[in-house]
Amino acid sequence: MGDIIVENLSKDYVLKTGFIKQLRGKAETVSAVNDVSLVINEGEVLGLVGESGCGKTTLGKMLVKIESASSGTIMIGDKNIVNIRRKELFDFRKDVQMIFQDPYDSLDPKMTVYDIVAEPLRYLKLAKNSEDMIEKIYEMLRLVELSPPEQYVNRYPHRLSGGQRQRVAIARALIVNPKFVVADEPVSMLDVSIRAGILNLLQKLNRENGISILLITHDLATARFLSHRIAVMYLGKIVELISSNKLMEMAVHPYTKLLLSSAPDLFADTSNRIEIKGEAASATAPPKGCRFSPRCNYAIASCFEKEPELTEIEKDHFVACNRVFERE
Amino acid sequence: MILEVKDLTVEFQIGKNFLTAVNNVNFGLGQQDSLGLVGESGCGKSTTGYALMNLLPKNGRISNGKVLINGVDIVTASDAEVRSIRWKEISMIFQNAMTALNPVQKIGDQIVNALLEHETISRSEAIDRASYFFEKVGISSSRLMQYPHEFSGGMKQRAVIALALICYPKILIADEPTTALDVVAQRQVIELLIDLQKELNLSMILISHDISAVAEACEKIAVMYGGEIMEIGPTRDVLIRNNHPYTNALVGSFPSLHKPISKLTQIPGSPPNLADMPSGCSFYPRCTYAQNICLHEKPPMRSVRFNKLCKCHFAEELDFNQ
Repeated sequence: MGDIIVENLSKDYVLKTGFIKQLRGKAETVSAVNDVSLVINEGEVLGLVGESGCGKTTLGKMLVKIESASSGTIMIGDKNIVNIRRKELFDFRKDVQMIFQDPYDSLDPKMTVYDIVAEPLRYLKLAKNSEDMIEKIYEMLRLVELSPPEQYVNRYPHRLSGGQRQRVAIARALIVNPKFVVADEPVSMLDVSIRAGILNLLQKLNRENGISILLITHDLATARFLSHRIAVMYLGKIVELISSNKLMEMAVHPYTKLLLSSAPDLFADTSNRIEIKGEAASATAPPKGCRFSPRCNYAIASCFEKEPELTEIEKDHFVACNRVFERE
Repeated sequence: MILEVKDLTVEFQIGKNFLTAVNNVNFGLGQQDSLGLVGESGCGKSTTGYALMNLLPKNGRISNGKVLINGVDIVTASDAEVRSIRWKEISMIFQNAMTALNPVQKIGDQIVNALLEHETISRSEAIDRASYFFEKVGISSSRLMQYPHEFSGGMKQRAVIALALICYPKILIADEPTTALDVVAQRQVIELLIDLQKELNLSMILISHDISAVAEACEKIAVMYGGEIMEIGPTRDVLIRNNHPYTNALVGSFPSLHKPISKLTQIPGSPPNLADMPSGCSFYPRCTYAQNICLHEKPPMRSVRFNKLCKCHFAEELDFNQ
């Protein structure tokens, strides 16, 4: 399938405002994702990190075509999937799938595990016959460690634990043998002791089956564990893109550093934390200039005027900060 | 001791059966002490919190044990005594603060009305007190006139903390106060709780599934599993120099930013089902160190290194280091 190349991607939502205001073109818009460019390499896990409302889920949904883009391009191979046609969408779904956050919501309570996992195969007509379908489903359930599969196929979601449900959701996404998966907070709703199992499973799927993954999470430690590179988002913009093994030592964006310093961690030194300034601004009225400037401890007058560009400061390390070269 | 919990056992009636949600829990809290209760969903940590307030749901009851608050047992206390203890001596911040506030009433009115319900003071005194506590939790008192939807998640949580403190309690129970919040807001709430604890001389119980958050706020920690305390003691000695296999596996299943990236420990199986608890040690079916004795005999609580108590047959032999 090749790399996924996102260029100048934006998503604006029109807020519900009065009809007259809309006619006059005065409707308020929220720019959930604003001019984002990034590449997800083939076989890579890219972590997308940020606080709620920063646009990370919207970006993920655009990559799987659940949301349409307002502008920009998403190139997969030589196809721009932003304006893909309905007929092509059918083939696209065989390559690109999504795992949702809440396995209590994302599975139909009236369908058995078998039917849930079979649905994509039926819809995309990927099974040769019923034996082939059964074989594929059993193999997939074994892969996600729901084994022996005979024990699970006839169960309804309410008879599964949270971890088992998320495994069913993963099985449903992977049954079509996709090359790229968007995983939106795949463990945040799960009990701690089962999270590790799901994370290890995703890691295995990436390493052994070469599936590219966009991992959306608010948890930097999870992102660092699973991803090759990490993109940090703030109010619709990517502010830093860095390889995971350099994250702790080399991250430079003040927002990335604030997140790293604030994350509760048993093994962290909490004596020297970065001071917190203000609250996250709203996406309806993003600050002028650098969007992080009102909360930034390093902001100077020009930061409130000029919006910084995402720039490569060393190989594979991108930062959007006006002061990145002046600061020590 | 301002709070003493002795052999606390809580049961829930489900149909004709009784499920033991909290099983023989013991701990004490001195003035300004802080204790974290951690564990996975269903381990009994929130139920313990409700039991301390004597606020169990209708189908729940304290079937055994004592909860002594300044020497008065809230389990056997009369209604009048309970009213003089609850909220005034011991107070609780409930889970889901985001939804705890009435959306169609100004936040200030909600706090003032709650206060007037519990104390015989004038309305203007109540308003002054509400303003005082709003400033204490870091919100300008001018915002008392606003509605919950005008507050961010972190601010709602702080408003709920102010509400819990309004009658000057000596013990504060906080149930998952950081769970629904973003990283930065989480840190602010934890730092606020630590400050308030010192300033108001509070004893605090912090209930959470997030061991890292508890580690930052509490000097002592109790790890719960299947309704029992498995390991209790000074926070870092429990979490880093573990003696219980469950504590060890739990800490090892978290990715950390400050450790090299390596494989995570996976705890086999799933959390216990209260309706079908194993005989012997409740962690036995998922434990990598289990032996025959664990299947048949419930391990007693025993003292181990670093002033800890641990409920495992092999606690002395298992000296883990994270």
